Amino acid sequence: MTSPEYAAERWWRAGRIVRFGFLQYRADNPPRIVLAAIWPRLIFQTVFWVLLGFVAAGDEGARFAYVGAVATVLTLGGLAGMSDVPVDDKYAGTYSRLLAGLTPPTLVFFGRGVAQLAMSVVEMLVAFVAAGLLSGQWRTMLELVPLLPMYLVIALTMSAMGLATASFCVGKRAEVAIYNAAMYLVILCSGAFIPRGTLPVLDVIGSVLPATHGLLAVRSALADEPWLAELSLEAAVGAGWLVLAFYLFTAQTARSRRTGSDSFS
Amino acid sequence: MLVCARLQMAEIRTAWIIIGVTIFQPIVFLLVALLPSADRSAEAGTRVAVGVALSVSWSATAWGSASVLRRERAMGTLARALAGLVDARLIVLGKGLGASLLSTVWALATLAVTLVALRQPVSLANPGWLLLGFAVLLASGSAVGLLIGSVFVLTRYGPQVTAFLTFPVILLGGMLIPPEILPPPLTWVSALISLRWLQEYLVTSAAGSPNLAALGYAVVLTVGYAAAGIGLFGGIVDRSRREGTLDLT
Repeated sequence: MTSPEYAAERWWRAGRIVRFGFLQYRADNPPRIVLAAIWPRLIFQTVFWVLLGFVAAGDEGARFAYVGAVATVLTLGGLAGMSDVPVDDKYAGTYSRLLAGLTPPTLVFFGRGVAQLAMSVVEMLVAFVAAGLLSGQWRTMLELVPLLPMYLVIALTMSAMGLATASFCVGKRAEVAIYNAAMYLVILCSGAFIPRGTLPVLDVIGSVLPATHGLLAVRSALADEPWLAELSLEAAVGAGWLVLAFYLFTAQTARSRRTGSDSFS
Repeated sequence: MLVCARLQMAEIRTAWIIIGVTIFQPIVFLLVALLPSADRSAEAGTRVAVGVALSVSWSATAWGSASVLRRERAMGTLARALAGLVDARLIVLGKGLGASLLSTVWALATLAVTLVALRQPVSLANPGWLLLGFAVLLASGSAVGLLIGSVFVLTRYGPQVTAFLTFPVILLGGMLIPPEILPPPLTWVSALISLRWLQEYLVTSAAGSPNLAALGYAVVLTVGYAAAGIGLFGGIVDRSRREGTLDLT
């Protein structure tokens, strides 16, 4: 096969893998479930965090919590949803086929993760608007509109961490605990709801988690302060998680091929 | 029923979701509700701790009852459980009770450890009255479990539906968010949630003057949930058996 043909076929394969990710998402979450259960859940969840912020620290607390809550919406698709990407193969018994396939499993998982990333952004936008209006935070919402690209960076870093944590899920029957731990860790340590400086240990853990630096950038931009350094740190954290995810999946694939285990166990 | 409760407790101990709900969630809720707040008195601490305990108990009940039937479906025993000689409602009630009991105990233990680590004072004036409140909480949880179980017989998307149910009840149940700050129509919804009354009863009991009227409301609502659950679950199971759709939905 000549090189341009080979490249074209690789692009074709990549397109099919990404498309399959979307089909898989739709099979797991048909539109009526998304509209009736997933989106309302995220809206209620966001309103809850805003009101909790209000109860703890008044109007300022509510505004602080809204800015953070929008980012934590990304944990559902970016962390929990992403862990389903390799786990679905475990339950469907198809991992051995991925091992024998032409495209390395790592790239298959990355490609199928695109759907989870895209849906996490959609979910965030829905909660951003609906919860902003329902919780009376529409002024903050309007101020945040020009800053949405920063949330997009957070979405990317969240999904990168999601891929890395997903690699631990297979073979252990512990995916629920793993992604729950990751979600709560982000909620607790990213400064979404607890201002930095309140409990130093949370800040230390938060410094390598998605959303921490991104939210600092968003809050700095809201206060007309420099934000580029924090946003760059957020991107760096995301790149770190992505490299880790790539390494972990590749190492697990190599081990599965070597030992003959077919679900990374 | 008690055999089912014991079986469920054994099953839950092997399921990882219990760690998410009874360990991570109470720690996160407690820290997020307490740390940004200026009021760290024993009174505020008690209110938040009871609110977190009830919220976690609700999540655990929702996920626990959800996992009861999901597991039966996964293991292929759903049809047998629902078509057996023993009334399926007893099985689900018993399993719901087991799920509520185990998760409430775990959540309370996690809360106690976190409160000690934070050096947050709380008041515990009437342990007897508090225990009575938690007994009603377990009964309420089992009754609601029957209602949630019905959803799992109806749809294969039970986890998504359960996830949807979790936050509205935590939001409207008056546990961490005082019902007074909700808009008027929602305070009515809040009054129909037994946890709202249990919150009031447990906080007043901890302070030394239990609000027995609130406990009464909680008991009445629990009886209502149980009656609705028994009717609905029975109806849905009958329909599934008639139409032969068990395990197929």
